[in-house]
Amino acid sequence: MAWLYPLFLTGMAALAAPVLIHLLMKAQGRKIPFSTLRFFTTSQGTRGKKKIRHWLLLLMRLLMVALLVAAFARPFWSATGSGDIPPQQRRAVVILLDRSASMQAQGSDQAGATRWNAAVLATRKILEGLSATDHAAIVGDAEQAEVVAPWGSPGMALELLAPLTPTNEAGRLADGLLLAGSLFAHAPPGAQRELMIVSDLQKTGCLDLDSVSLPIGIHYEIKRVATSQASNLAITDLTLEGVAPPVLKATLGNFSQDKIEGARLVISVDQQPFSQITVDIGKESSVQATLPNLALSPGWHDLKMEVKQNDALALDNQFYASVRVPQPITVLVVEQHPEEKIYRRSSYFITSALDPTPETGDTQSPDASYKTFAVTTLSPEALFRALDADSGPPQVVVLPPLAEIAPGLGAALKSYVQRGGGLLVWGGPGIGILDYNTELGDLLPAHFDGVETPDETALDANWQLGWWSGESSLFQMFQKPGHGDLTLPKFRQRLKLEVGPGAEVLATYDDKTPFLLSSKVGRGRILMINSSPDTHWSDWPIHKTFLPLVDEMTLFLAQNEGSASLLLARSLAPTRHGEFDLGTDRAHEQVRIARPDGKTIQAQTDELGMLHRLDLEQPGPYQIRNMQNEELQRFCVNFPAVESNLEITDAHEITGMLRFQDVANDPSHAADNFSSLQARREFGPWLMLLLLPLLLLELFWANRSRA
Amino acid sequence: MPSSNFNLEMIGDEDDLPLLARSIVEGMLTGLHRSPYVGYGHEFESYRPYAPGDNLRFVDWKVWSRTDEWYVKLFEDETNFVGHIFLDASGSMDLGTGGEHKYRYGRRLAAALAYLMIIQRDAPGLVIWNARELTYLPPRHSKQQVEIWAALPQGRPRGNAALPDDLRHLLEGITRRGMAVVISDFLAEKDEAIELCETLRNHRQEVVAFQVLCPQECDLSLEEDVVLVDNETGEERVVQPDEARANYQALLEAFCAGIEKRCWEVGIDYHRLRTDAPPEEALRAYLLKRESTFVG
Repeated sequence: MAWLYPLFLTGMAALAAPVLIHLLMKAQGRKIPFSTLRFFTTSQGTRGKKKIRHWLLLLMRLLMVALLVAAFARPFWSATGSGDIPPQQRRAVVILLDRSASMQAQGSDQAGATRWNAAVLATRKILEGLSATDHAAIVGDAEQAEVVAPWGSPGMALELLAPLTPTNEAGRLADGLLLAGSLFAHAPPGAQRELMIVSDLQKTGCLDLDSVSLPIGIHYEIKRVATSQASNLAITDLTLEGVAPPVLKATLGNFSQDKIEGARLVISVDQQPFSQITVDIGKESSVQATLPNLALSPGWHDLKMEVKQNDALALDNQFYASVRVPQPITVLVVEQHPEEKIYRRSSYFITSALDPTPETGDTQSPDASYKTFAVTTLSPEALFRALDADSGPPQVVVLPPLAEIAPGLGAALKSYVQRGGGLLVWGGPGIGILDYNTELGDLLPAHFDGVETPDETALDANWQLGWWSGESSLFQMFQKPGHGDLTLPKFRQRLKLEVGPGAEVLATYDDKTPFLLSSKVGRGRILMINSSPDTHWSDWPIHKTFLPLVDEMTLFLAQNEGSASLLLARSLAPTRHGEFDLGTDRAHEQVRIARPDGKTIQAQTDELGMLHRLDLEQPGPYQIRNMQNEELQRFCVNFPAVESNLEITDAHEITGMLRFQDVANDPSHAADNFSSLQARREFGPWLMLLLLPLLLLELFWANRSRA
Repeated sequence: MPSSNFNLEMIGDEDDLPLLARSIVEGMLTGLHRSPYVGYGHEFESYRPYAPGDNLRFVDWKVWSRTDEWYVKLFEDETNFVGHIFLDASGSMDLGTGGEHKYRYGRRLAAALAYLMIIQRDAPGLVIWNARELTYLPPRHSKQQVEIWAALPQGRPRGNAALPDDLRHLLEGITRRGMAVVISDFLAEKDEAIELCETLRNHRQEVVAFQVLCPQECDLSLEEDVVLVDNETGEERVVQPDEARANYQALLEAFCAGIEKRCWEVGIDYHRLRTDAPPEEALRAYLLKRESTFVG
């Protein structure tokens, strides 16, 4: 028996009403003359306890309410459930076959077989149990549900079943259920409709089954091919965290009841073994494992992580990622005294801030560590050549305080900045104020008027930073608590400045004297710091705010903020019907897609630059290149994390979630509905008919009681 | 002729008591195998036409042979018998509906008994009493029936069944041996009705006690909780019939058995009558008692 409108059954709560009425109803106190009261004992006259009286009346009223509610819910008999199917009746069977990735897991009702093998066996058994006059169809359910065997003979369905394989896609059984339900619209009229669900009933795939309504009159059966929850360890995600330096963190999930200790995570880069770490994971939990510093050369690198664990599902033990290491920003640091020991140079703190680990000198080496800046120290004389080098000018030039500026250097620097270069100018002891004003006067944001020191008679004969621009990207990081206090450094000397017209003051001392000025010249940028890069004029270089601000200033001057860090390519879930957006700039363009298996497929974007129906099922790195072999996009396909949780659902829970609905409003289903209505036998009207004599009986009995 | 299956509901109640009484009696008589006309004396006084039910022993066959008419010989002693009918008009008799009303039933029974006595040439007397009033018609031979028919509808059941002083004086005056029929429910608070019976018995009366109960009080046929009001005392009590029924019936039965036992101990004929049963049985009981007492 089933209900057409089961929600009406909540009306059964009204059953409480007659009970309450019978409990609360007191005698009406009708006075009746009587011959004598001598035969009534006193105890019989009390009425203290609230007891239900007139049980028969109460039962009749309860039955009436129940019948009324049940009639509204429109009960019907149908073959739904385990109803018998008349053998002489033809059957129209839709098999909903789960092809999601979890079906590749072990732990099936067939010893030693995967869930998929068990599902194929079960499907085959169903089909072989049908007669030649029956009809069968198969709906495959993965990321998208599809009819893999249309209505036809069981034999034909068997043939189409043979080549089927499980997919690597995440499955949603509700989609398959919806498609299977709609398939019955085309079932042979009069046939007994049956739906067979063959699945591992993975919990994550069965979440929203109650969102689907099946047509009424369908007999269904659930064949769960997974016996119990299998233990599984999976790499579910990889993220890039932090900036200095960024680190890769892999998420490992333990979907089992036992703690896993010492799981080996093996990392290979560009098909070469790179490193391995061991991880402990508690039961039914996940951990993030930090990958060691990759120290890769600039450019794209393909990573493969594999956890060595013998579990139910091997596919999710691997995870692919593509990392792009950016080209380092080339920085030239001018040093007047390169012959001095490194720590005695005026550029010491700058070079240390930009490159904490001294480089080997060759940034293009594959073995070179990943660095944001490629710092080169050179003499003022060499700067001329470097600005016109064949390999291209540096992105940033750092100018510590120079005693003299060679003639022509100002023009060369101006030309360099106008072409897009960045110039970082520092003050400091011995600075050639006259040369600076003469050679760089029209380039720098301020003129120098000499050096000043604080009033020696003051209690605190130092300056401190008093203000900095909160809107400037240079100071964004200092907004966060614990990232350094810019007011702590003490400044003992500084330049007297005359700020030029195009200059922007980004920070000042506590007496409003400019500390940091910025200006734009042509396509380039200039920053000038009114202090020394060493500890002669201040103790700032030994404060924690020095390094990040120098880094940020260099990035600002290189006009390369945001693209100087590691880039992790997108990770997509496997799909056989993938779509990829290359942007409208790539509309109607032929592209080639390099797959992980080494094959290349060609595709064409539509008018919006979209690629459609891409077969992205195989896990691994993918590249999209144009016909000139330029790389347009790179991404990785990884096993869907949602399929790694092999927890299964009980069949009776699925039964409780299934909904059946009359689809009478759809005219295209008119014939189907007719047979569906024929198949079900509603008996709501009979309940109403039963209600009528019951009502009369209740009236009679109630009145008789009052007589 | 009325059938023996006479139904009280078929005839109006107070409208025509004589007709009702006659119907009851004659309906009962046709069911008897022998004539109820017993107690005929031996001194011939006159003839009268034969009536159905007359004992054929008293048919004068000589007259029949001469005139071809049936005549019965009447004797002088046959009208000396005195019968008192006591009808309880206390409040407890005011119970029941329609023909099952206790007092109306008792009134019809009294009328029928009076009619039966009259047609038997007995002298019926009538006493209707309750604590407040007393109606007394002494036994007479002539025209008594007219007075009885007139007196019976007058009484109304009310008050209790205590014996008024007038009745006690009246009882002291009943010394001649006779019959007394007491129609009551015997539910008086101090058992005055049974006391009356015992007094009558002490005064050499052959007493027949009819305890009249209606179905409503026998079965306690009330479905809902009600407030019962005692017709005699005015006391009120909430009663849940379903719960009280078993105990009530047990007490009532015990009470009736006690009345019957007291009657038996002093030689009183006791009959319990339900008002939903025809009164013929009561008449038969009376006749049997009369026959056993005054006819050898």
